[in-house]
Amino acid sequence: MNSSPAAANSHIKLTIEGRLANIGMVGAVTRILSSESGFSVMSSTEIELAVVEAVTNVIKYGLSELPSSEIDLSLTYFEQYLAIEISDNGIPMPSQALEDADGSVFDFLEHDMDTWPTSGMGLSLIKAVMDRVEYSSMNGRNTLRLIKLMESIDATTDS
Amino acid sequence: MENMTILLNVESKKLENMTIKHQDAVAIVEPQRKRIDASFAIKFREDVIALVEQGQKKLVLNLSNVEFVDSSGLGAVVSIMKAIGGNQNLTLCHVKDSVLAVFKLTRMDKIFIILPSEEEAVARLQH
Repeated sequence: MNSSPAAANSHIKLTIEGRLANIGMVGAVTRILSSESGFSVMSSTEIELAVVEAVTNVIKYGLSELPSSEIDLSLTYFEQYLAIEISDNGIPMPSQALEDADGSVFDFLEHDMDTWPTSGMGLSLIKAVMDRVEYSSMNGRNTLRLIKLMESIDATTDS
Repeated sequence: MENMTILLNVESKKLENMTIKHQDAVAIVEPQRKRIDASFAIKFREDVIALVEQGQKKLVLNLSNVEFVDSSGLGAVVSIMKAIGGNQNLTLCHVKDSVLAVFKLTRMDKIFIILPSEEEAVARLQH
């Protein structure tokens, strides 16, 4: 079933209290908004995954020493793509972290249990499912920007 | 009957958000939450690894209720698999497409033994 795509340039902004208990709701809202904007079920789930990973990282690492902090999530629907920004005022991500997340964490050896990863997969997952990932930190404000290209109408048909 | 005593203790313990049943020597763990994310993954991992540390040697994870798994949830499953000694002792069943997609993105579908039904997942561990 195809939903009608959202109007281009529509913008939605949410403010999230930085607690892990809120992650589920953030993910569900992101998935529903993505689906309503015309993304397929699978792409909507991928977008949900990226946002959940990003928000989790902010809560666990960026805001770990700042109680009662907030995270801003914005979704802007353009005709050709969806732009998501996750912003916070916490500890910035290390400058090399995004570049270092090159997916090599998934190059484990199937027959060697010691190489199977149990952590450190979040950023690589974000980069795997989004079409562009950018990070900036200026004047105490950190922003992760994610881009997901809109699919063709044919691609949104779910079997 | 020391092993039976351990299993009885496990069965009588109230585990949040999970049901556990036994079929012969296999424990079937079924999370009751739709999401295994950072808000649940640590507890999930700790509770299941506790079963292993109490002597459980074969495990099935029935994910029929689970609609979403992120890297925290993945890491928890991998940790459980390492604790129990590898994928010859752990199988997964009723994995939804959305969860399987994450397994494939991370290549975890290469190390997880995924079966369509609980019966097949149990049977695989009994051979």
